[in-house]
Amino acid sequence: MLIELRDVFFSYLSHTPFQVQALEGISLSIHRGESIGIVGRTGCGKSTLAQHLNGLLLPEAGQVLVNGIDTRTRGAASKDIRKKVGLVFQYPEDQFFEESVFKEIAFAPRNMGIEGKELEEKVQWAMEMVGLDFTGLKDKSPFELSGGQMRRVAIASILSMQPEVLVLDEPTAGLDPQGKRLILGKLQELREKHGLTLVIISHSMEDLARIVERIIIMDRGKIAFDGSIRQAFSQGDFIKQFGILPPVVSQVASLLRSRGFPVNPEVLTPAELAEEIRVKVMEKKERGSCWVEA
Amino acid sequence: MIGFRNVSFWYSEEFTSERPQEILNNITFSLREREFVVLLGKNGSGKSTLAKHCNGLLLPKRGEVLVDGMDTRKEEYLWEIRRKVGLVFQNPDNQLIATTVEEDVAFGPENLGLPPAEIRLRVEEALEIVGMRGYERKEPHTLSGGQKQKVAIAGVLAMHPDYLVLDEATSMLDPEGREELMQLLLKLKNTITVFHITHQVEEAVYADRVMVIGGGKIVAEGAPREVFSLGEKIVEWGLELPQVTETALLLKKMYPTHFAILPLRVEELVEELC
Repeated sequence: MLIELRDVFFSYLSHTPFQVQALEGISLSIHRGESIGIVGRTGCGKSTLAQHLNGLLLPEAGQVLVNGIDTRTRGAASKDIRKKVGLVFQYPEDQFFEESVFKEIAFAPRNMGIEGKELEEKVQWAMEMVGLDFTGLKDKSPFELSGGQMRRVAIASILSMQPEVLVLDEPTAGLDPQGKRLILGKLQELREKHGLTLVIISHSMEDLARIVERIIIMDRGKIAFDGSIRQAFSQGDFIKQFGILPPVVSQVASLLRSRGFPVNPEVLTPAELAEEIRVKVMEKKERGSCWVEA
Repeated sequence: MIGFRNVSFWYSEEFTSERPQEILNNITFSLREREFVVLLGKNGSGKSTLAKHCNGLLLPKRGEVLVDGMDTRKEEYLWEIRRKVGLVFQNPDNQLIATTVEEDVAFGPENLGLPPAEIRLRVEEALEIVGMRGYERKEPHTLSGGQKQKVAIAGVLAMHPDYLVLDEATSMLDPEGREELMQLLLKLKNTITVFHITHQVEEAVYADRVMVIGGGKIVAEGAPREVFSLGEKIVEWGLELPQVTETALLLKKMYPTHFAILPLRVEELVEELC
């Protein structure tokens, strides 16, 4: 097991009249190679949870273990945790400060004492991982890039530490569909080819449907659901109470089922839905067995 | 009516000799009364630049923008144009300035120099429309993103505008906030013109008219069904198809006689099949 949370509690402004309980008894395990989506309303505790995964925030009660090491451990072990679990914030490009893409991405490995040829290799590797042209872009100012490119520079700057887990807070926010597709495709590749574990916070169920297998729904600091994304999206009424709207394809599948067509409620993409409709609706119709409303 | 006539715009780069790139390139279109128009375009396509031309925040380098006949370049019309055309931006945190919701909504009408009783009336009315009555004394920072956007819209409505322009106003909201905001826009279009700029194609399904901007030009325009029937082209412009439409187009390849009318919404696809 890679990361384990045991009954974690956290609050902001604690010991003041304005105390806000952000996490209330969270327990969960993240295994190597998993891809997990974390969803829920604004303010449900998603980002707070993410910041616990690499020890950026420390639990007030309970424990977070990364490879068996408590995130509250001081010294070398805690540094190691930050290296293993890379965190990409929301709108990470707002935090750019270096004059070139190379320096931006080299910042973390440099801090770890890596220089020269090894540094260059790490930066080049990280840029290739997110599909950025090393020679063409390394000397450019990160601020000259498009929104999608900037986002990929930000992800590369975390990848340059070669983490085992990548935690991303709204990685596609503000990007157009093309930019989104590219980022999601690259993340998918990182997981499939390089065994990276992914934890993605997102408001876009369509995005998550493309890339994660497991979903955690948060509600007021607690876990309301933890299981397969297909299962979650096939239960539209259940997840709606937590502010989650299932993707349009799931809505079509569930409406077809209510009309008596036995389509699989766990479809996630238009291609899967079209295939289900072909087999379960069109072929039946062609055989002449017309369905009456159930 | 807001009319764009052959509008071109570029950001001046005083320090280069290169010919600046035209962000808007000879754009002509109109927004009519009580119309709900969605403008789609990928990042960098000129969407936001276009939005800022609607109320004279940016002025055309060539061509003209007329708001009910008033040229945005004429300074004497500026106040009236800004009252008629309200803009709401992407980040809800950057738009609310006062310490309470009601003060924030009252900011615009106060600047119009209206009597206090009228201001109070307008604030109540605007908060009623956006469904935020009961939040008058709340501090804006305690609201959710969707609620903040609704307050920002209330602030615009309190000016009694004729046009509401939203520049990616849904992009930072959670699904519930986004859904609520779309419902509000559909309600508003019965009384004012709504011009909604986004790259969420699912939001365009509800529009009276959809325009696609690419490389500074309007590359497609029409009813949502017409525009999305362009299929692959939409993807080439960096956008995507609504999931219902994508599913229907996949099925149409196998069953060419079906889907003579392309479905856009969940119910439409299901009706076609049943």
